Amino acid sequence: MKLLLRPIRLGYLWLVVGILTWNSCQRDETVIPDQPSPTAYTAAVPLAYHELFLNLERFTPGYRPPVSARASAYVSWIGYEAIVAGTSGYQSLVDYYNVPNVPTADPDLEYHWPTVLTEAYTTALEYFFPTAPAEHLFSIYQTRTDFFLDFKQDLPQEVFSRSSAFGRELATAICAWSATDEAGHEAYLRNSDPTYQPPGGPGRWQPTYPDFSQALLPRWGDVRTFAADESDIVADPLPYDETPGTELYLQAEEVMEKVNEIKTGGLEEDFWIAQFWSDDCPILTFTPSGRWYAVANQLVVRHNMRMDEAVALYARMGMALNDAGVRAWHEKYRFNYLRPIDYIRAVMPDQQAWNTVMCPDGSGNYFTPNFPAYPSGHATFSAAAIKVLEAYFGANTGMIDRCHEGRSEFNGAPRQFQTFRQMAEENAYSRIPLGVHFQMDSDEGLLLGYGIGDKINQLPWER
Amino acid sequence: MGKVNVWLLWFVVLGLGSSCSQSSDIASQHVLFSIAHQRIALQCQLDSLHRVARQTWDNVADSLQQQLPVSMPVDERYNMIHVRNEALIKMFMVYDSLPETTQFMVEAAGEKDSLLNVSMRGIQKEVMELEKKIDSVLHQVRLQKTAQFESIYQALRAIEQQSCSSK
Repeated sequence: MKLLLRPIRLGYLWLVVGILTWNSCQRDETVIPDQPSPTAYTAAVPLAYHELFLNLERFTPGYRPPVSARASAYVSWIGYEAIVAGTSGYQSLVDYYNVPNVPTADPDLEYHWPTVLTEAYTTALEYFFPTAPAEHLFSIYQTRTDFFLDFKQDLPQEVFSRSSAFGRELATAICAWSATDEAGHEAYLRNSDPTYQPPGGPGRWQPTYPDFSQALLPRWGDVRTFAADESDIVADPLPYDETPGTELYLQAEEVMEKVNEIKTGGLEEDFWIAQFWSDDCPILTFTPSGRWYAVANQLVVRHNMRMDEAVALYARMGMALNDAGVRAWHEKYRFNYLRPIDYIRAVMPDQQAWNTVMCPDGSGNYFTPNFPAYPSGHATFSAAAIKVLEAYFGANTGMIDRCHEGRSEFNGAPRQFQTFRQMAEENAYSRIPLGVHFQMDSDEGLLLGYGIGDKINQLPWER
Repeated sequence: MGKVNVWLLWFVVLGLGSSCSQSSDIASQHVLFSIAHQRIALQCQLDSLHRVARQTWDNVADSLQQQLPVSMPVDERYNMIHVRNEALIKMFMVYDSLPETTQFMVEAAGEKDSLLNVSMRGIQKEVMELEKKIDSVLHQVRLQKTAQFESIYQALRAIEQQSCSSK
């Protein structure tokens, strides 16, 4: 009996040892908790990075409006893709665009969406602003450090690690895809094309007084769009005509008279409107496309938006602005229509020295954007942008735009709007008293932009 | 004798398991803390480069403040001084009329800023490599289910919270 028991006891002992050994070497069973969705978080992360974006596009040379719009589209879309798997209402657009090698979030594992988003935005901003001034580059890194120190306080290590890796890998994949768009890739390094010769001739655009800068981004129409296509065009512009009383003459006369009156101290509100929406002067403010991010940032705060809502809003906004820039520039160089300054100086009596009121440099000089007039880029950007805003907040919603509040270099006092459409219309109109566009540029820019905004809204964003 | 052997074996096994775990903890802890300190050191280098960039442009701003014509409009003057970027400073029409020494200073600052950008990117890349190493070691520690995981992780976070001045 004893002889029989001893082997059994020894066997039992080895079984216990085996269990202990196995147990000590076994990985933790991952318990999937009810993880918070992106809706559970505030918009602090997307807001911080889109505020950073505005500083980067303002202070990094080469980020003229369409270039900035393109960068914003990818950065914001990367943020959207980073958290979309955690949302209940949105869906990824990665397959829609056939973007290769984009990782997907494992539905059986927990992610901390603010961490995913922080790493995705950091990777994207670093990629799209490689020439950022050192102080601004540091701001990107510091924002990441600050958020991560905060997030790590309450996160299991494996969740943090998995989340940051996912955000980084996803952003890297989309950044790599963006580089396959040759016309847009690294365009901040080549704002002008030395091989481009404006066609010339009556009514055609040419470099304008006083700086006579080369044409800005003459081949931007070849850049990749997200929803707009070759059907997004404007009607033919007015035929060139110097005859008094013709429609073009009257539109030029309107520009001339408004500017001349502003220069003598009249039309105060028109001048306010012109300055309020200008955003033309590099350094002074963000770009006209960046302007709509400044508007979106205010709305995100005012409406206390949740992380997923803000991220989706920014993504749509970025794509709308990118497509508006691409199609507006395509059309600008299709028609190569002259700016009011050249018409007024050549045609209007006693106006050979006429100039705009755009970007005074203190020495008596004023400027005109260095690209063809028709259609207005400002109008196209704003119309596309407000279509996105209407989709989120409704067509009857308005706001007080405070994005230039406190500026002393120009009249940036806040302006109140009953609807977003009023904002777009006023933005488009602002180009006339500024002296840089005809009425037809603004009207057709708006129509072009509205159509593009609608197309962006119709993308398969929602499940 | 047989009873003694059984209990001896029992203690040996338990002891082996425990000592294995402890030595593993200590080794992992050592590696982790070393990497974490390296990471902090790199973070401090980044801070230092940021200070250099700031100082460089502060010096340019001081020079511009002295050299810009008094007739220059106040707001334009303010913008030129605060833009802190070579290419953007050169966009101001008054730039060409500045003394050569100031122009040279702006150009030198621009070159320095570009180099600082490259250095910062390099350091940040190293930071992220170290973060990956930390994640990898922590992952291994967690897989081994060592009792010390949580305390190691807490200690690591305490290191990460250190500022450069506290190092």
